[in-house]
Amino acid sequence: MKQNHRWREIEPIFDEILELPAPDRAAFLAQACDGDQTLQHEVESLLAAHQQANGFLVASTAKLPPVQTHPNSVTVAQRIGPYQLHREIAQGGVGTVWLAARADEQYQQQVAIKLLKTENPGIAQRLRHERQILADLNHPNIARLLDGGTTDSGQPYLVMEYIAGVPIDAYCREQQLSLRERLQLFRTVCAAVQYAHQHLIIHCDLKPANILVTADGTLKLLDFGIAKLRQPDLSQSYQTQAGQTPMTPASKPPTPLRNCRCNVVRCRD
Amino acid sequence: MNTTPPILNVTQLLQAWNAGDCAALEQLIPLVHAELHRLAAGYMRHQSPDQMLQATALVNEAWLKLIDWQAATWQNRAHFFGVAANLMRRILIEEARRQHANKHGGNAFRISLSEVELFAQQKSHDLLALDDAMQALAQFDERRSRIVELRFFGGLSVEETAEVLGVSPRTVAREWRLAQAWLYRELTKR
Repeated sequence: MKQNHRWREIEPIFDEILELPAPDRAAFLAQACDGDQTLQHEVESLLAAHQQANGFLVASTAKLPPVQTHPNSVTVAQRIGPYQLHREIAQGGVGTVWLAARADEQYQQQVAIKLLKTENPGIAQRLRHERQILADLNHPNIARLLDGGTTDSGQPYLVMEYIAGVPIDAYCREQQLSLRERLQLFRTVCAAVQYAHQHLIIHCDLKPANILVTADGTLKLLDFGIAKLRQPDLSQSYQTQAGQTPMTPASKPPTPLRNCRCNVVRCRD
Repeated sequence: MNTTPPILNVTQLLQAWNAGDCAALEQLIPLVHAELHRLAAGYMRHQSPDQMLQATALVNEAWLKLIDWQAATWQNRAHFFGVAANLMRRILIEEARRQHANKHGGNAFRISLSEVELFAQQKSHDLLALDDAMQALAQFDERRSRIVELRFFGGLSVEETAEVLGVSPRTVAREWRLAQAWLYRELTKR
């Protein structure tokens, strides 16, 4: 192979050119090769091959199921209860979220399944307790908890209403909302949070990513009470303490950071 | 002889190997090789000649059969596929040579080299040509050749390939581009 003795020269030029915007490439190549026609021709021919080689030698890898990221996690093509998992939507501190649909043909419904990442023993029992409370949250601006349990391998999961929306901050930017409109949205958030607090449920991880607005402008709060599920010994009261930090630091309220109890007081209706 | 079910063996060997026991690899290879060979032979016997063999699908099937994957980790998987990629390549090349020598080639199989079926008109030559080109590449850039082996014959993702080679995913992605372009050019010459 005649090119092998020039390989170490070809490599950096080839790599660098592909990082450049197309209009800048020719000038860079000419400069890098500095009149060395053989080298320039070699790199040009490899760049041409690169343009045509899209998909070459990669077809079969694309058909593989995804890698397991957790020893107990599920792979696609797997079912959880009556739900068929379709694809991973998000990955976060609490666990992974999958888009799924009921697979028993009872009815068509897309759901979001949250597989909780937890090392806590006894989580399954606590989950059962919490699930009932969360399932009682019935508010038009709070994503419904539909179901939950543990997988065959013991990983707890929650089935939530699937919301196709964008985070509230992105929505405000994209729609170029006025201050008044932004405050109106914020009031909706407050009303939903207040509703939950009246049911003695605090969110523990309120942030833009958990507040979605759908295409028709409906606001939905996601993941109520889920952050708390990962903390030990919270099944009896709704308290958050410093040191137990499943929350997102940038969006954390000051109260739990200062090791205060943030009890919720229910008003009499 | 060894009568332990292979599923236990392979998982334990993989864990021992990951923990630094090099002798475990020596025991692991024949087990994985045997399973891959069995799967490949079965495929070639039962599939019609115009169907394509997905090398990585076989590797994946071997993984599912041989491994207690509740006990396996992400690193286990990458290392298993790292071993299997090389074995799969050898098995397929042996088979392609055999068929090539066997001119009538009644049950010739094809390997999919790309989504666009670049070499649709050819058969086992493709694979032999690819193997030759990969060997040529390895002469002056062994790591890039290995990256192709892991990704094409093992079905490893960029991240898994990086795990096996002990380099960053960014390096794998960058080196893959030139390897792919070079091999493409070699295989499309004339």
